[in-house]
Order: sequence, then C-alpha cells, then structure tokens
Amino acid sequence: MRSSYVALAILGAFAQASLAGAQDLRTVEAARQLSNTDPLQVDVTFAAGKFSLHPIDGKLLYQMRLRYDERATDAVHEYDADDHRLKLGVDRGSGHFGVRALRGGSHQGSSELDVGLNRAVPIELNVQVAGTESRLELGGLRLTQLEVNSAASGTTVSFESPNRAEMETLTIHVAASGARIENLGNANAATVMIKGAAGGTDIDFGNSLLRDVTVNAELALGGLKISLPRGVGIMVRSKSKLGAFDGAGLNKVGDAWYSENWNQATRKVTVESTTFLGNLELARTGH
Amino acid sequence: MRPTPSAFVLLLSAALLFTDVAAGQEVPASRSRTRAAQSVPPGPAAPPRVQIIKRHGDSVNIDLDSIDSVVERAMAGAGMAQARGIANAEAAQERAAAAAERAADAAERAAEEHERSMEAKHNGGGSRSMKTLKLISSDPQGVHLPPADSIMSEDFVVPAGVERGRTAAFGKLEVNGTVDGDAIAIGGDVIVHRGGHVTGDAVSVGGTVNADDGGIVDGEMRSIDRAMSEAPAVATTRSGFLLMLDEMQTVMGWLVMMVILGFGTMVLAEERLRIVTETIEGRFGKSVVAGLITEVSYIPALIIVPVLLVITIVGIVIAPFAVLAIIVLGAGLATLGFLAMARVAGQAMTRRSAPATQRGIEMRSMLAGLCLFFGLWLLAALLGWIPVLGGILHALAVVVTWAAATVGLGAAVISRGGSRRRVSDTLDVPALPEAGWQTPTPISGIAAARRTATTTPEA
Repeated sequence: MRSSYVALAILGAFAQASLAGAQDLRTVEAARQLSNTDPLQVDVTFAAGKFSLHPIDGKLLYQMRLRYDERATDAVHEYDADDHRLKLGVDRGSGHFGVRALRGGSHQGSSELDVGLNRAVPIELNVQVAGTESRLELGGLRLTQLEVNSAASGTTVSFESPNRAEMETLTIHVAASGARIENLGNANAATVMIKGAAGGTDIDFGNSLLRDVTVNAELALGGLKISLPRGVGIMVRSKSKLGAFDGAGLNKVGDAWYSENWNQATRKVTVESTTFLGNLELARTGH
Repeated sequence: MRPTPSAFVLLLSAALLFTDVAAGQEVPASRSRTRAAQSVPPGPAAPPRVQIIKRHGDSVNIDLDSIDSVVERAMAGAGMAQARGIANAEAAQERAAAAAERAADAAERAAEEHERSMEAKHNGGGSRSMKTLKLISSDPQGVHLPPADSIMSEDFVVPAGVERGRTAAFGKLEVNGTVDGDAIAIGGDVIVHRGGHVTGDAVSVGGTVNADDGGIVDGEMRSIDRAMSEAPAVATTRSGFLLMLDEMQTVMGWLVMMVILGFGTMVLAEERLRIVTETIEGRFGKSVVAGLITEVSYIPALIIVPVLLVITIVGIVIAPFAVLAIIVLGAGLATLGFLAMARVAGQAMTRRSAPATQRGIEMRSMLAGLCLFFGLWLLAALLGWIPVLGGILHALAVVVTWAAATVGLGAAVISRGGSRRRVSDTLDVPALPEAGWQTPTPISGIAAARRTATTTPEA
C-alpha cells in the first residue's frame, strides 16, 4: 500500500514536470542576404519533428523557419563568413542528463524545420537528423558534397532536377531508419556510399544518369533495393552473410555480376555491397 | 471688520490656489471659472461636479462633491451666524477657515492619490517593459539591446541620408538611411527600404523583417514570434523540481560509478585498497596532513614539473606526458583513498551486521560507506529547495566529501598507493607471545596434542 503511494507521488511529480513543460512552440525565422557565391559548408541538425530542405532563388543565401520547444532545445543559426560555414537547426545542449528532454514534454515531436538554400552557391551539405520525418529536395542546388546521417528517422532525399555541380561523394548513414533516395541519377555524384544498420535503403536512380556512379553499400540488418533505368549498364560485387543476392538478369563473370549491356552502355553503375542479414535487390525501370 | 460669506469663499479660493501653486501646477482657467461660479448663487449653468486638472501632463480627476459640501457647510454656518445676529464672528471665521483648510486638504489628497496611481501604473508598465527587454537580451535568439532609455517608445523611422547607431524601437522600425549596428523592433516589423542599410542584424520580436524593397542587411534578418518565455529562464537557473531531478541524477551517476570502481578495485587491487584502509585506521593524523599537503602542492606540481622538464630541453618531449601522468596519478590516488575511506566509514556502520566472509564484509563496508557519502548529497539534492537547510546540507556534503577525500588521499600517498604497509608502528596490536611448547597431561590414552604456552621471563 505504501509503495503504491510512493509510485503515485512519483508519477504526480513527473506529470507536474510535464505540465510545466506544456507550452506553445516558438517560431524563429532567420535569413541572410546573398553577398557572394563562395563555396559554403552547411551543417543542419534536427531532431524530433518534421524537416524539409529545398533550394531557393533570389538574393537570400539561406532562410530558415524553425518551430521548436525552447525548453528542450536551442535554435541554431550561425554563419561564419570567414570560414564560409553555416549551422542551422537545433541543439540540445549538454550536461543535462536527459532532463531537458523531459522538459520538452509532448511538444518535441511537433517541431518543424524548413531550410532553403540558394541555388547559386556551391554547397557541402551535412545533415544530421534523429527521430525526424525528413524530406530533402536537393535538385537544382550546387552540391559538391552531401552527407546525411539519419537515426530513427524516415528520410527521403530527392533530386527532382539535376544537381548543378559535380558531387564527389554522396554519403548516407542510416541507423534504425528507413531511407529513400529518389532520382539519384540527377545527383551528379561519382560515388554513393550507403552505410546502415537496422534499416532498409531504397535507391531509385530515376530515368537519367548524369555520370557513371559507384555505389558502396555496407548494411547490417537491413536490405538495399536499387532501381535503375534499363539502358544503364550495371556491375555488382556482393558479399553477403545471412543475406542474398540472386543476380537475376545479370551474368556472373569472376566474382562480379554484369548486365548484358555493360560494354555498350554509355552510363554505368557499379555496385559494391556488403550485407549482413539483409538482401540486395536490383530492379529495372523504364523501357 | 465683519466677515461676509463672499470673503470666506474668496479665502477658500485662495487656499485652493495656494495648494495648486505649491504643487507647481498650472491652474486652468476652467477651475477659476468654477470657483467664480461658486461665489455666486447657483444659476442655470450648474458648476461641474468633476474637476479636471492637468498634472505633469496627466489628467487628474477630482471629485468636487466633497469640497463643495464642505464649502456649502462653511457658507451655511457663516450665513446662519449672520442671520441669527451672532456676534461671535471670529468663531464663524475660524470655522470657515477650517472648512477651507479641509477642502484644500481634500483637493491635495485627491491629487496625490492620482499621482500615486499614475506612478504605480508607470512603474508597472516600466517593469513589464524592463522584463521584456531583459528576456530579449538574455534570449539566445535575441540581440544586444541598447540601453533601455535609448529605445524608442513607439514606431520609428530612420530617414534617408541619416546614419545612426544601433537602433531599437517598441513598434515598427523603418530604415531609409543607415543603421550602423543592429536594427531591432519589439512588437513591430523591421522594414529596410531601398537605400536603407543595416550593417548588423535586423531583428523583430513579434513582427517580421522585410528587405524585399531593395534594402541591405549585412547581418542576419531574424524574426521571433515572441520573446523567450520565462520558463527557460527558470530552466536555465535550474531550480525547483527539475533542479532536484538533475542533481539527483548526477549524484546517482557518481554513486554508480564509484561502486563500479570500488568493486573493480577490490577485484584488481584488493591488497592496495586494504593497505590504504589500514593506513587510514592506523595513521589518521598523518593521513590528514599528507592529504592537505598533497592538495596544496598538486596544482604547483602541475606547473613546475613541465616547466622544469622544458628547461632541461631534453625533457620537452616528455613534458606533456608528465602532466598527464600527474593528473592520472592524482586522480588514481584520490579515488583509491576515497574508496578506502568509504570502507573505513562503512565498517563502523556495518559492525553489527550479520557475519559473512571477509570479502563479503569488505564489500558491504565499502557499499555502506559510499552510500553514506553520496547519501548526504542525495539528501542535499532532495532538500536543496529549502532556503537555509538546503545550503547547509550542500555545505555539509561538500565538507564531508572533501574531508574524506583528503584523508584518503593522504593515506594513499603515505602508503605509496597501497604498496607500502607500516602496520607495526601504527596498529595497536599486542606483540605476539614467544612461542613455547608443552605437552599436556593426557587424560587417557596417547598424548595427542601440542599447544602454545606463554613463557615469561620469570618462567
């Protein structure tokens, strides 16, 4: 009986803390006028909510609209003109032993971040999201590098229109997440690296391929599905433990699988995958 | 001289005039007119019952009913005295003068009352404004505001061709000229028109920032829908229940870490821990002194040792490692000493506990000692919200922990990290008796036992 009173008291105290945290979200809008088109490194960090990123036109370098719970997180919008570096998103701070998350109460999942980046500026983009439903529409930007770290999130990266700069590496890290890359052929990336655990990744190259691509995939407890246009040549080297790659429609030569049009194809995709407890699946799209 | 009612009224008006002049205020013509109207029998135009006086730019409403009633009573008294032919005109005059004085007091009180209410209103508004400014200034999203008295109290326009420094306004802020610094609007928009230039940030709290017209903002354009709520300020100071929770989590984290370290030490360095424990028990005073000396000399050692190594030139390479080594050594000795001290304290607490193996007793002692030390911190965290008691408990926890750490550190230093035992000169152990052998007289059968017997010099 006494223990139940104690439990009730503790519950009451936590409820009180949660109620104290119940308040309206705060909105911060930040933007900066475009003064030059020097290359820019952009770091975006966001957690618990909805996140979208897209290109913008006009005379703004960036614009951000953030709705957040000020009790749980701090808004971040830092621009270093000397280092050409921009940080946007939220920061949970440190040294709170998780109590700050408790303060946020039920509002944390309602946070929203919308970021616009200027099309004219070459950008190295680094995105870190956790517990977030994210959509990154990156077509039309000048991305020279892209890294997306997604944890416990549903993340979609899309290139509806061609990337206006050549990208060296596009890296996606997924953990306990589902990631989907749409129209990857427009990314203009030489190398695509997929690293993940406990999450499936779906890559759709779309209908066109701006350049030859090498896909390096290291996945555990998760599958990889790659959809390619029929005209693109494909070569696959797959190492799989407790997983499968059947190589349907491909010819095996040595330790690699080749599509029939490998030698004739003007655009080629090389897939090197290592999977553990996950399947590699290839699909052909178009005619 | 025989006083007349008109003279009394004249006197009354003079008194009222005096109070206004004394208060340094302008007496409006309307008031004079009112008084003049009262000096004649009431006509068709009745005098207003409420008098409005401009006082420090504010309107003061004075209810004249009370004043008029006093005046009327005075006039009636004087009139009655005259009608009844009372010769004591001086008494009537005194009554009228007193009535005039009371009327003046009433007017003065009304004015003062109004002034107080206005001041309270101003102060309240001011404190609210100050609170808002403070919130904005302390807000990570906010900006450094100019001094409160230089913030425009209403909409403000920076005209074209004008250059001014950091500018803030309660209301809309339009920039046609140049703001050399931040442009801040509180409760309004910041609009930077074509030709306008803000060299710093353009910030709006409760509005928007607009430079679409061709204005230039060198810094960031930022709008916040509202000032930071006070809750984060509370959170920042970490008070109340959440502070308690924070602190308790911290204490529990340290306790768990020390328990793990303690058990790890018992497994990996039991002998060292035992020696340090014995050193505390046997050489307590020396441990205290050694601990204090070590604490005092630790920081200088951190500085001097690398400096000396650098001077030797050859030692430059190892100077960083030496610093690291001193830090690690200090932390290690302090931890070992604190664990030993916890065991000593725990032994006293668990002396009457159920018997167990030696290892069990030692583990129990250490756990009890750690719980004792960290229990103080937990208690301080739990009751920290009580103004005086909380401070006392925190101070007690700090002192006790520091004392334990000092003694333990000293013991660890004296015993060279538990590698040197000096029990003989410290523990009060009686000297072992000189062994002797005797053969007991058998009761029956074969003499089968030998036992030690104390031999004395006399024997």
